[in-house]
Amino acid sequence: MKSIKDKLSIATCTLLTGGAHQAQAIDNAWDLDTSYLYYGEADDRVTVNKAIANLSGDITDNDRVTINLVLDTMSGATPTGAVESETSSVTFSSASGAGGSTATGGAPDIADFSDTRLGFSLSWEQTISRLRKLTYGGNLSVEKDYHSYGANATLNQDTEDRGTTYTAGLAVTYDEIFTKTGGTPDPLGRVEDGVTFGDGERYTYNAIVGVSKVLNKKTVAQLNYNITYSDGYHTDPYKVISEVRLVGDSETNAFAFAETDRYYESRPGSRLRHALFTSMAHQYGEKGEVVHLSYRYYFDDWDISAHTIDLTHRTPLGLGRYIEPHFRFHMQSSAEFFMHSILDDGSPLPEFASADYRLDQSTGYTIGAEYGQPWKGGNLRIRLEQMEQNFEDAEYDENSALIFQVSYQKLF
Amino acid sequence: MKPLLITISLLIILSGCSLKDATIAAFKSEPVQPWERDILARDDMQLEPDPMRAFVDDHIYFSKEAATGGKGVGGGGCGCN
Amino acid sequence: MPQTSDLITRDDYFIGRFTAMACPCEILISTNDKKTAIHALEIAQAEATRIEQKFSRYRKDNIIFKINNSNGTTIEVDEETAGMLDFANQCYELSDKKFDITSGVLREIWKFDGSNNIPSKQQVMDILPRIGWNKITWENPFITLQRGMEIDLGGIGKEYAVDQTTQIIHKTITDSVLVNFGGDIATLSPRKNNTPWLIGVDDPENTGRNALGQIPLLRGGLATSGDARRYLLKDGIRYSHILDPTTGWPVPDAPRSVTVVANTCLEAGMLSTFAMLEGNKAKEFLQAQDVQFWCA
Repeated sequence: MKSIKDKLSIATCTLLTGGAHQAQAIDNAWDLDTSYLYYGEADDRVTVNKAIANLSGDITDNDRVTINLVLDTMSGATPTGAVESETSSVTFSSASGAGGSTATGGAPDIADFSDTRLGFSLSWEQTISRLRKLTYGGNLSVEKDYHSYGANATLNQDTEDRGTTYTAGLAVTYDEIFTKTGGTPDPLGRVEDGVTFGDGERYTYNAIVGVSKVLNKKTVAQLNYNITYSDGYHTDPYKVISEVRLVGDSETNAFAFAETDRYYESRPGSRLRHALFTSMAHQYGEKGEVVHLSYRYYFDDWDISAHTIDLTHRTPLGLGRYIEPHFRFHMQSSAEFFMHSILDDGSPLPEFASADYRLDQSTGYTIGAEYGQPWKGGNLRIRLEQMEQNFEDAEYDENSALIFQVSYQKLF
Repeated sequence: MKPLLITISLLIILSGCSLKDATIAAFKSEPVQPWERDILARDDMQLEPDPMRAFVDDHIYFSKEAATGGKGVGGGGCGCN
Repeated sequence: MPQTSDLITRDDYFIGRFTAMACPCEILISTNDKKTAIHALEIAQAEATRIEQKFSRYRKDNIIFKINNSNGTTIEVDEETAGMLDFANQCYELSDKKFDITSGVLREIWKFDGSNNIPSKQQVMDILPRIGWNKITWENPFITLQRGMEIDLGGIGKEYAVDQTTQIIHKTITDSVLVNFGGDIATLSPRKNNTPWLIGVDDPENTGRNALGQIPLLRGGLATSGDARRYLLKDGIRYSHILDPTTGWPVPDAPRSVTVVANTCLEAGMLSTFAMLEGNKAKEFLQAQDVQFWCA
């Protein structure tokens, strides 16, 4: 008679070491998650197509590696910071003003661009002991006008009852910034003069401390504090700011900005950022609905402060399917050196000035939903969202975009 | 900033009201034994339930807003901001 | 539901007792510290009760009821249940289709009360279409039963509970603990001074009175299949309560009781059940498995 004991031993061991969940972790050593994103702004502004692949797997009982690859293709047009050009008296050289690309005769307050970014990151998670994990990582990102290299390490420590996890992490990033034609423009130099300097460099140091805690059988919550100091070139080499004079007819009360000159923007050489982030996940209800809520308070020494709320609510539809509406709200104050334009009144130029709409006071929200279901042995997720942003003083005072993402994850 | 702050608190309260039971139950702290963690172990109960969505959102909002950070360290930089 | 338990002090260990899964449950804690003993007892009772409530086919509020009343629709199960179903599937294959968690419906016609109520051949023929794990669609985590079919994890549940309880206690208590749920036993470590736990094996002819022998157990699991009190007697033939799901009839010449010692209680339990299902080849089967066993 044949012996079945060994096979039975494996089967019992699989069941007793924590059921299907852990059995999966043993049998399925590799987890592949892939995703495609379409991000498209209204009025033919920016379009981004993004492809992501994320592969992680256990190489030993205590070591897990994750490899992440990202390919972005970006094209379209983006506001340069200049005022609308109908009244402009400045001839604008398309090669230098365009956002790293070929400006094709479009209005110079909007610059056409296209670029491709390749991002790669690798991380290694090491289980030091039953309650302690250490993760090291490295990443690099390459574009035609930007290189970024980073290294990071994060320590996770569980308490004896595994009810609380403490996290501490550090990261260093080195960035090289330049334009496609080489170098960086003279900050607050006249666009017409076209004076360029060498490439910009920036070092960024990032530290995080956090705690996550199991509150009860159905709730887990997290609190993080994140501080980031960056030193070096912070200016956007493609952004400009107009010098203007107010012209108009006092009888008809019709006024307009008349551009008299145009400068490259200039930002401070360092930035200190703080973020306080809290989030929670809670399950309730008959069907096992899950609500995720997070809030971030952010402030920095450029005088920007911001509040961000993110809320999702997942309702299971049975058979592993779910629908998850998503709402995000963001508001921020402007950077102290943000201005719509520089007034041509004979006074000297400020030390720093930027008309980049992203540094303006703004509010924005995103609304949409994700649908997920099992498919061919993996998980399929599809989401569709609409983002709306309103800016207080920027020349282009709104932005709206469609976000569409499809992801598929499978264990091997 | 003040009216906006009020809007935010209102949003929190509103989301709390529509999920009243959840809000009350959610913050009650009680010890959880290892064998009571079946719900907490679910994928949808992770603080980051869909890492791909989080990854993409971080990139989108990093390039469209001035504020960033809070979730962790590392990840690729890019020239989009 | 009120739950009671007792704690008895012995020389160098404590005995904690409670009732769960319709049987007397006992844990022996090799310690002199009463707090440790109480803690172990609480964990054991909580886990035994949890597993009973989750997998009992007598309740109307659990996953088993939901599956058995699904009327042909697909049900999604949690990870623990999925683990059990995967295991049941493997046991079905390893036992050559004799261990089948869908065979519980046979109880509708077979009532082992010591009487002579043998079902008719027609009754057995009528019920067979409702049996067969191969008729079930199981694609983790989704299960679809055909109408009229049922599953019963009773053949796995108690042994699973013993091993689970042993492991959970071991996570917080370093002293040796022996878990005994109705004769299904496991321990992860020997007692103090490396002495084994001693386990008495019942003589099926004299239930509860004479111990056939004492088995020393350092670590591992022990389980017994067979129940001397559950049988039918007709025309001088003794029908054992071990039913063959492929025929719908009791397994002929099955031993009255089989006790196996193995790595875990679950493994011991499955080996003893498989042996019973082999009928007169039970001993041969167990010898091939290279385990310690008692067959009566």
